[in-house]
Amino acid sequence: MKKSLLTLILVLISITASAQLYKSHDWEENQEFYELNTSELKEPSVAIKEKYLIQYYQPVLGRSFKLFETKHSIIRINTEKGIKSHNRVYIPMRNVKRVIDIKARVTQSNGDVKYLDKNNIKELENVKNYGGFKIFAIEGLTKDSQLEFIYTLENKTTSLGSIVIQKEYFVKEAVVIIRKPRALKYRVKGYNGFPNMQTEKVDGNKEALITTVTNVKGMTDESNASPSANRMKVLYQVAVGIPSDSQMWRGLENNIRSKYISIQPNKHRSLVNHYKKFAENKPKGNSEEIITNICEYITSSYNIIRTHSEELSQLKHIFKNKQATEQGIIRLYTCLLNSEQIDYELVLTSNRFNHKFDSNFFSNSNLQTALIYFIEEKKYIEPDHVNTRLNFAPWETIGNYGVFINAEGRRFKQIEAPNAKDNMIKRDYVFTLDTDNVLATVNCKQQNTGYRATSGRGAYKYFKTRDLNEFKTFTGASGIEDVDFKNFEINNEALSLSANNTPLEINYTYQAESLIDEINEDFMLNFGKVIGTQNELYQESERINPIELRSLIEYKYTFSIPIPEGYEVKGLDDTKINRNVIINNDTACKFVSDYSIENNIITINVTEGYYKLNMDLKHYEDYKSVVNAAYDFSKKSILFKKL
Amino acid sequence: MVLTSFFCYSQNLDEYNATYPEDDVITLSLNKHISITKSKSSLSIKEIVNRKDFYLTNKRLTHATESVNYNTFNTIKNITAFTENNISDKITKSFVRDFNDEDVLVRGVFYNDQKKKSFSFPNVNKGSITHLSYEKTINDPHFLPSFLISDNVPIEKAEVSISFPNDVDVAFTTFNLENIDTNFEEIKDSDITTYKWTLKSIPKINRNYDFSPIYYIPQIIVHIKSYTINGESFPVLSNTSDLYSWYRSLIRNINNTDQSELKNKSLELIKGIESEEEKIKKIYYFVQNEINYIAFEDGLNGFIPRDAKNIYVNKYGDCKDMANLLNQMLHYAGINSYLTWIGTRKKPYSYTDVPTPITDNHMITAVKINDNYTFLDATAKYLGYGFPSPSIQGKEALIGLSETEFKIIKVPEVPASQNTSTIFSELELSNTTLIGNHKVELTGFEKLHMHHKLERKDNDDISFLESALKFGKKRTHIKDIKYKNLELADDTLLIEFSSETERYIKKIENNIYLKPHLDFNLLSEIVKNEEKDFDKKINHKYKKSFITKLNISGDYADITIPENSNFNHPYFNFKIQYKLSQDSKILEIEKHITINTLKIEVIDIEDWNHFIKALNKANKQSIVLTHL
Repeated sequence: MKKSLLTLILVLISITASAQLYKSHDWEENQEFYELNTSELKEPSVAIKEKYLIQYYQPVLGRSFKLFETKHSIIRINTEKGIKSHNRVYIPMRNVKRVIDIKARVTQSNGDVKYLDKNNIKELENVKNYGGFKIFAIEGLTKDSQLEFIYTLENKTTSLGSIVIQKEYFVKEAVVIIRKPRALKYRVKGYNGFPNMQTEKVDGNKEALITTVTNVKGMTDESNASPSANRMKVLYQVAVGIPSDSQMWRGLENNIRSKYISIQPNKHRSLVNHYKKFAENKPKGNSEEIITNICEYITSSYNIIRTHSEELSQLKHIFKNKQATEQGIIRLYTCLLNSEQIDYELVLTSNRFNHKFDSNFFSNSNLQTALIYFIEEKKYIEPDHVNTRLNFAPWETIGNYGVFINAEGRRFKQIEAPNAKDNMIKRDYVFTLDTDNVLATVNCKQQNTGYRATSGRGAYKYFKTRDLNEFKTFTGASGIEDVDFKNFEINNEALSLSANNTPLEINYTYQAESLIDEINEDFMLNFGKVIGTQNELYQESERINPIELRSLIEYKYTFSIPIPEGYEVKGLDDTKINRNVIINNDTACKFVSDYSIENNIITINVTEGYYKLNMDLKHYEDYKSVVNAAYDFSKKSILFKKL
Repeated sequence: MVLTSFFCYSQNLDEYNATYPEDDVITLSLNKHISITKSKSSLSIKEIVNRKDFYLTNKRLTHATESVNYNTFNTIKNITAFTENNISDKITKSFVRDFNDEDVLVRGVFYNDQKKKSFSFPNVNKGSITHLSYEKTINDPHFLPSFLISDNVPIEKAEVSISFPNDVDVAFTTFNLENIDTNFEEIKDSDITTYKWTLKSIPKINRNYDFSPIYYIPQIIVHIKSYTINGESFPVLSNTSDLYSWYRSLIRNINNTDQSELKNKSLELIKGIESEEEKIKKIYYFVQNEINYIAFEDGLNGFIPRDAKNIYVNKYGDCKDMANLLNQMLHYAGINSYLTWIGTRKKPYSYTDVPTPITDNHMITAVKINDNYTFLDATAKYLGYGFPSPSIQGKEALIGLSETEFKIIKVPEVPASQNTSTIFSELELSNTTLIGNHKVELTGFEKLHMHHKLERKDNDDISFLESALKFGKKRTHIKDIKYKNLELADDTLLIEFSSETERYIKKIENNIYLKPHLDFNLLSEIVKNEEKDFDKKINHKYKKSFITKLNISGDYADITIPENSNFNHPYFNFKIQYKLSQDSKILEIEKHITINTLKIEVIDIEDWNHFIKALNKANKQSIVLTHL
């Protein structure tokens, strides 16, 4: 009897051992020092191989599933920059139940090997409430060396995951293996060129999904683009009898509804009464005013706690402490909206610069941002933002899709971008020229709407008590190094005015000697400089990512410049610019400027507009010429020649 | 008592709003008390802190989330925090129940032992008063906390004090109290002495400092000089000798593993080299090259260099590790070298005024050659031999000569003439395109900074030289770049390149307007607004020269060149000279800019602004070529 029990245990151990893929994966005893070609040697670093093993595992004696994740990298280091990019390793422990192993070594071209001393692995227990990290510096790393590290973690079991294989550096070969026991099903979806995964036998005679991708270029960080979202990656779902996407969205919908939407205000009378007292003397003529009252009440009475707290997700405690977690604050909004019988939808979406929402593949990446949408007003609030008011959707979500959930059901809908006419910067400049003292005085009446009004209001609120000069400079005179403000006033600064897109008005007057250059008895007026520092794309290397803008926007400038007595103006034709990008007969973006002279006053009109959020790579050169036209305009000057 | 005080504050809300119209929160009172008592064989030290904040508006509720730092040398005990509100004349208290322990990430430091207890006051609204109190136990008498009395909100009243038995000798030094209403009292009874400072109306930290805020904020630094227990006297930090003696005790047991591998490497490096200076250079550049700087600040280990041989093998270390490795290797090479403690320019203190560990934050190696000390900072990769690193110029170096001997020497400021950037350019016009061929020579810190920029450069960064040299326009296409003398041992880094700038000129009727100055150094350096109230920091002294030859092809009826210009000041100046050849075919332009100080004092700021404006104006001057 004893013997048979022992045999059984051995068999079990044996099965268990062979079933755990990570145990059969290790580095080569004698590490090969890989050769690089000429172009690879010019890179700061090159990954020879990066391997990701995701293994769902069910112990024979256990019912619950375990999840092991192994990361194995072999990276050649060519330069000091390469050393600095790779000589520190941070392993997040947030979802880790157990560290199985961490090891690293550095191989020199002469075969010398330095192994990581595991005593030098440090531990951070809680970083910004995102959990702990294991950190270590790579020992023995030099230029022309080869780094290799491999670690295996037992993570908390989850059915959703993602692997981004495209890095900032060139990866010669990336291997992804997802393995699971028979009882589990899996589904994967690749993005941005990630190839289909194949079912193959792996060590232990088990099946797994496998893909090998070769020569993955490092992603370039480019402006007016979404390089993070464009990285090659795969998302996966692994579960028992994997439900369809539709079932998973339904599960989410039910969950959201029960936790956030079905809150009954009559169970929270103190809270509702407190709000009502706050709002008793405020206008409540329509839903827009009521939503504004709720936003003002919450943002001026409650503090958002950016950490986990079950208690501060519950309305009773939230009201008592005037504190709420990011989840709790949503409940606060929905409770009060329900109390006022305002129709709304709770929206879950993603930051489009990190991930494009995909209704066809349920994943956590789709659910990073929560908004509340008001159908009648066609506007949103952003509950976890300390200044939120009824407004357009945040710029990082527009153009993206989201799941919109209310008491009746759910729908997938695109989050509309406000059109350029609702997101404007309008500036009317009037110049006064003092030729005796070679001094220009500029008076500007500026109106911002849309996002620029919102950011201006937020910045004004912040800088008003800190440093108003900084606000003045970046609002009205960026790039004018010797600006001397004579007057500066701001109107319509209340945050709630975003509800009906009331323009933020900023009127100012300043002087700057740098606006005028003396040339003998003539002078050059650098009028273009007043529009501020402009982006330019002159020194771009080959563009990788298609164009993706933050918002649709229009800038409208008028300049009124008197011709001083005793002078004539020259060089005005240079101010005529007409650049545009036409896509399918529509103007995608443009820069147009022209001038006229009447009663000895020069008037220059400028319109710069961007009317499409996304443009293909093939339009990049034309787009670039529009952006650069604005930059060129900021360098424009006209000559006043002495008669 | 609490009721009375609350009633007063409420009554005074309007008054405080009038006094602090720009502020949403003020600190009503800040009390810090350090208590030193004697236990059986050592001192027992704790700091007791009490703070009350008053919310004048409800516009800055985020201030209610805060934290208290601690580390290996101190622990937090008895922390209590609550919010006091007056609701319908009834005082309520809402207590903080969750204090989260978090790691504090320090910029530029890979691993440190700083942690914090973070928490958020509940029920905060306009009129709320938050109360915070805690005790900090200080485990080592060398690390007495300083009283830094400033915050990002104004402080109405602060009381800081230290009490100690009469046979404990305590000293203090005050900084930046001149403009604060301060009262100092010394209260002495038969056993205990108390030093107490009362400060009123302390403004919030100004955002416009150019130097580190520690140069400006009111502070009282206290330190224990010595104490007596059971008749035996224990020195702590009475002067620099005590500080050095303690530092020395910390490094007594370093490098006690087998160092033969390191010794062999050192001897191998200097094989065949006769000159002492060449030996130093060889080893210094080796350490700079081979060892990567990674910062650790881990309790007392933050003061003790790790084993030299291990650093050599592991190829990384922080400043003290690299200083120790360099020092050890130099010893093997027979060089007189010394571990040296120093505070960088971030620290305003001197060892004489403040003989405590807060005075320094860095370790280097000093070598003595011909009775002169040369400072070697192995963390400053690419720094040439003979140059101190820019951040320690003018600072006191505590050179550890032996177990008991040390020397304090001021690190020299490197003169502008040794940190030079010279750009020789030949320019010519081809239609509207300006074509240029350029040669750059960089020495000293100008060379060092270019090396650092090159190290970080992306392969596809085609605007690199434009931003690194502050030279050219956005439309300038820089090509044919050649770098020469990149080796550390070379004194001058050379860069050659050519440039093309399309649509460079402005044509109006018969005239061509051409701006011949392609550099844009110092363009945005005007000191504005409140920044004028504080000294401006200069990282290093330097001289930049631009020697330009413009070839004028074609026939012109007239060529108008700008007038020569200059600005003279002992600390900053420029000079621009134009010279047109007799046949009007070549215009030679010589421009020299010199910055000859590490600090523009407030008194010189107006002059500095005039200098920048004059330079910017001179840089914009145009040459006018008038066609026949």
